[in-house]
Amino acid sequence: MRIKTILIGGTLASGAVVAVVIGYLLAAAWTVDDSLSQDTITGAIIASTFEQSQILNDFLLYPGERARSQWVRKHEAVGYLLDDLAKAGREEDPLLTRMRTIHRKQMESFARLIEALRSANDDQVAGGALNELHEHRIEVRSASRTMLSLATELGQEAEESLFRTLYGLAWGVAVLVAGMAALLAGVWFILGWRVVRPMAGLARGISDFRGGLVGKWHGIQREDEIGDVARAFEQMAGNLKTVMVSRDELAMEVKIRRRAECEAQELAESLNRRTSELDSVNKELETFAYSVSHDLRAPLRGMAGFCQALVEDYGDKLDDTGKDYVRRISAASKRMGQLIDDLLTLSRVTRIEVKRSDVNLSDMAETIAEQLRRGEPDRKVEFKIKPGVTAQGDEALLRTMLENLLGNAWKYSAKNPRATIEFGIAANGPEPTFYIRDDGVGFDMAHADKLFKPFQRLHGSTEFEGTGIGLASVANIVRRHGGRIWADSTPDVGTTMRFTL
Amino acid sequence: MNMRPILLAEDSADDQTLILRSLKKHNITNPVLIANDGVEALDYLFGTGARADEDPLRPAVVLLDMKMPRLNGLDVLERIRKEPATKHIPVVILTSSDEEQDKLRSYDLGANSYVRKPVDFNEFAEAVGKLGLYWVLLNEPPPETRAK
Repeated sequence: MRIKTILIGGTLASGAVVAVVIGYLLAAAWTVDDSLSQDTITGAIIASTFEQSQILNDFLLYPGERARSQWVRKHEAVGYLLDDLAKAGREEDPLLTRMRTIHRKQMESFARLIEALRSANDDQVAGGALNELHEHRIEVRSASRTMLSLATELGQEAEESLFRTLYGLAWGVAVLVAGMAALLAGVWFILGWRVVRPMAGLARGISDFRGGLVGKWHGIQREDEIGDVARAFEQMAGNLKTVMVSRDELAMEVKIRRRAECEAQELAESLNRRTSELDSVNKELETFAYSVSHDLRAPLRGMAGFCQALVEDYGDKLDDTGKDYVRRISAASKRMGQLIDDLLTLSRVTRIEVKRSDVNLSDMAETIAEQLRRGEPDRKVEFKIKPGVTAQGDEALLRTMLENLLGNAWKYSAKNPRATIEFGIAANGPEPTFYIRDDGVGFDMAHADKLFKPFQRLHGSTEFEGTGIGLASVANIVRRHGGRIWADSTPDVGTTMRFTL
Repeated sequence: MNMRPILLAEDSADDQTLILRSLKKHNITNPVLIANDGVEALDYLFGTGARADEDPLRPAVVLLDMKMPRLNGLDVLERIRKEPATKHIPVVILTSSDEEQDKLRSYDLGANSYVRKPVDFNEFAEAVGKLGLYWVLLNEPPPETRAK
């Protein structure tokens, strides 16, 4: 049974009880009221009959008009009172009936008395008339006395009736109070049995909860509101269990992630360390390369200087062979200087950071072409440089690269009376390819793999001077820009160097 | 043309010879005194140490190599500029270094001129010749101040 039903029932029952109580109290009030008024009336009757009797005595002593009229009025009053009493519920009372009868007779008796008195006043009354008068007097008196005693009896009756009523009322109230107490007790009991106990059970079930153990509580089957709560809680417990599982999984995931983060951080740190190590190594290399090149150059200066001095100061003492030897020494030292420069460039190129910016290769090529022309103004070389060729890369490195490539083109076409050197970009294919073409002496493609290796030369130094490092630097620059470089050549026809960036 | 001597502080014998030759070729006949390191240079200038019994030198110009054993060029320069007797003497720093900080330090210490020894010998010879000519021919040295 649902608690709501119980509560409704209880409320109705209470209502009924309250109605009963109210009804009872109303009835009781009415009854008491009745008894009270009866009591009052009978009191009044007693008083009036007593007064009436007093008036009668007075009249009998001094029969006057005033006393007579007083008696009559009193008699009337008593009559009314008796009527009132009858109306007040004592209709059936035999006592009252008797009183009313006597009351009526009283009037008759009195009337006869008055008559007798009158006639007694008129003339000398015989003895019999006086006896009659006497009898009438006695009659009236006894009626009066009877009325009085009856009234008293009536009074007692009324009093008793009143007490009984009050007594009954008191009992009734006591019973009601007891009944209401019983009702209250019943309500408490019901509440306790059907609500508080189950709730305690539910609370225990909930507090036992470590992932939804409420189901173990038998009360979950209940049909009432507590059952509803229990079932709702069970559902929530189920949800919570799911959430907790998710949370555990999440926590696990977080732990994994954190560990991964930690590892990533460690890796980043070790990377940083490596980078700074590399940086410092690079710096050391730079200083090393620099000082090496300078220290290596100092003796070269001496060599060149003394060769010169020898020729200038003692040239006349040298024959041609001697002069030739001196010349070779000088040339050798110059070569060494060149080698040092090239090596320095190569090492710088490998180490330096590639700074990316937009570079106009056409302009650069033009400048380099101009420099080459100024270096050897006698040569007739035509430069075909495609305008507007740009690339993304390190300006200094790209300049070094172009100087090398164009310088090579210039060098290896020196044997031509007229040479043509082209520079441009071919956009066919997936990547734009830059090219430098010359119509110089070319090389045998069979040895092409040696082209970009340092110190590997495909021509003798008597034919063409060179250190064999230039293209190695170029290849390095191209690689560091993420591109490729390759060459095609036909001996005596020309060479085309192609690269991407 | 003044005949005051030129003080050359240079540790490399080769460089010494070449410089002397170059000066001669440019017809600079002033006496050239050679110090092999910083200490000798100071001895010359202050009449101390090995040159204790000589008068301190008042050269027209001091050609100072930077890298020398015992006391290097910059230390010598500092010393020269500190002494009132020598602080006006023209000093030319000769060096193969083109490091910015060396240049800055030289000028900070009061060098009159900073010349790089070029790698190419001809250039070098030319440079030396020009130097000599300028300091000996053109420049007017500070007035003689007798020390001690």
